[in-house]
Amino acid sequence: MLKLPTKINPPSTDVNPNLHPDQANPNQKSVIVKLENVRKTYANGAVGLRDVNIELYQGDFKFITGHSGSGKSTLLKLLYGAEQATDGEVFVNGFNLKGLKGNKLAMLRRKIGIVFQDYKLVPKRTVSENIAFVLMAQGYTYKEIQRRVQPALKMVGLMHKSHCFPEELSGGEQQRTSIARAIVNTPPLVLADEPTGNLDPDNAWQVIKILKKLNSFGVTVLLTTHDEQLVRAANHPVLHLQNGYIV
Amino acid sequence: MVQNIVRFFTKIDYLLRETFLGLRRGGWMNWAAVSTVAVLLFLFGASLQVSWQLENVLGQLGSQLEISVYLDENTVGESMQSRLLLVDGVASARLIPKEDAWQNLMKDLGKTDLGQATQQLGGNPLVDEFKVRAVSSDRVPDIAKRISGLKGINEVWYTNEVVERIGQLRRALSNSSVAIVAIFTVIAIAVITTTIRLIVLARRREIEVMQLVGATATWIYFPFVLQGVVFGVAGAATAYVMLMLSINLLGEAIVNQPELIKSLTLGLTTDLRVQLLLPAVLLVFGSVIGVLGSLLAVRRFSFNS
Repeated sequence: MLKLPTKINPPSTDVNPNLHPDQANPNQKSVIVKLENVRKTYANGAVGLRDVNIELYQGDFKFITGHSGSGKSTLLKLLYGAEQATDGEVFVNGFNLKGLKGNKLAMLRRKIGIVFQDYKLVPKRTVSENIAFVLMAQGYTYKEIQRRVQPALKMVGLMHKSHCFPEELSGGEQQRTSIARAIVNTPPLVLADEPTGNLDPDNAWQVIKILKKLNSFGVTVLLTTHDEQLVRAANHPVLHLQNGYIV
Repeated sequence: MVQNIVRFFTKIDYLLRETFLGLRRGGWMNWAAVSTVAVLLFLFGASLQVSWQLENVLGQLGSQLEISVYLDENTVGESMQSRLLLVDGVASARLIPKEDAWQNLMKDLGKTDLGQATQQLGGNPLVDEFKVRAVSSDRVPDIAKRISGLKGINEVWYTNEVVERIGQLRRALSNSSVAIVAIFTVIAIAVITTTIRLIVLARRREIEVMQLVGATATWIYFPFVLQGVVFGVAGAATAYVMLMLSINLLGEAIVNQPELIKSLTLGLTTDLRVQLLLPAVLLVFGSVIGVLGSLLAVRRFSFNS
C-alpha cells in the first residue's frame, strides 16, 4: 500500500483559508504537538498507526476523522501518554513522550485538558467537586480552587447545576462538566476523544461551540470524531485517518 | 512563605479526607483487618508480658545464697546439722522439720484442713530439709556438689538450678511465641494487603481520573498507606485493651488463691514496662504491619499505571 507521510494543512483540505488565522503565519507560531514517523503496533500484532507525521501549532483547531478502528483514539492516547509509540517520536508541549512515566508524565498531563466520550466523571461527587478534583490532585489551596472553578462553570453554562451529581445530569451536561474539568487549570492544549459520540445533534453542537470559544482564547484544540456532518458544520481543518494512515 | 504553609495544610487536609473516604468505602473489610491485627498484637503482647514476668521472677531468685538440702527419708535432721556446718563455705544450716514443711506447703496451696490432707496421703510425705546458707553466691554450686556427696542426703537444690530451669522454660516459651507471632504477622499483613487492594479497586474510577489529570502516584496512593496505618493503630489499641482486661480478670480470679500464685502474677500490673513500653511497642508494631500491608497493595497498582 502507498505510504503517504504528509504534513498537516495541505491546501486542498481548507475550505476557506481566510477564516483560519492559525494558518496565516504558521512559521511564527510554536509547535505544540509533533509526531514524527510514528508507528504503533499492539502486543497482539494489530497495527494502530503507521508512519504518521503531524504538526500542530499553538492556537490550532483540528479535527481527526475516520471510521471505528482507524486509529483516532490511539493517536490521542499517544499524545497524553496512555500508550507508547512502537516507533517514531512524539512531542507534546516540549515533552518527548518516549519512555515518559511516573511524576514526569503527571507533570505533562497537568498541561493537557482531556475530554472523553464517556465523560469519566466521578459518580459520588458533585459537578463542582468533579471540576475541583483536578486542582486538588495538583495541590492547589481551597481559595485558588474556588477562584478557578467559578469561571470554568460559567464558560460551560453550568453554574446553576454546580451541586448536582453526575447521575442527575443529562448527557450533554455531563460532557460540559467534563470540558470544564479539562480547562479549569487553563491548559494550552485540549484533547477531546469523540466528545460528541454519545450526544444528540443539539448537544453535540453546543459542545463544539464551547470548544471553539476556548480556541478563540488561544487554546489549541484537537478532537476526534466520526461525525462528518459535524466536521463540515464546524468548518475547521481536518485530518483523515484510514487504517492507521493519514490520508 | 505564608502561602506555602497554607498549601501544606491544604495538602494535609486533603490527604486526611481522602484517607477517611477510603475507610468509609472499606465497610466490613475494615473490621476484618483491624481484628486480625488485634489478635496478632494480643498474642504478641501476652508473650511479651509472660517473658517480662519470668524475668522478674528470675531477678528475685538470682542473688540468693540459699541451698535447699533434702535428706533421705530415714535420716534425722539433727544428726546432719554438724556435718553440714563442716563443709567448707557454709555459713549456716537451718533445719526445717518435715512437720513444719508440711504445714507451710498446705498453707501455700490454700488447704486449711491439715489433718484430712495428711490422712488422705497416708502420713506426711515430706522429708526433713535444711536451708544451707553459703558464704558467697559464686561458691554455691561447689558447696552444693559437696553436700550432695554426703551420706544421708537425697537431693540438693540451689537457685542456679532453679534459675536454669526457669531460663529453659523462658527460652522454650520465647521460641514458640516467636513462631506463632511470625505466622500471625504474615496473616495480618496478608489481610491488610487484601483489604487495601479491594478498596483501591472500589475506587478505581477516581484513581483513573486522578492519573489522567496529572496527580502524582504519591498523591494518589498515600491515603491508602495511611489507611493501613489506621488499621495497625486501631488493632494495637484493641489488643492493649484486651490485654489490660485479661490482666484485671486474672487479678480478680486469683484474689482468693494462695500467696504463691499471687506473687507470680500480680507483679505484672505494677510493672512500668506494662504501662508504658507495652503500648508503645504494640503501636509501633501495628503501624509497621499496616504500612507494609498497604505498601504491598498499592505497589502493584502504581507499577501498572
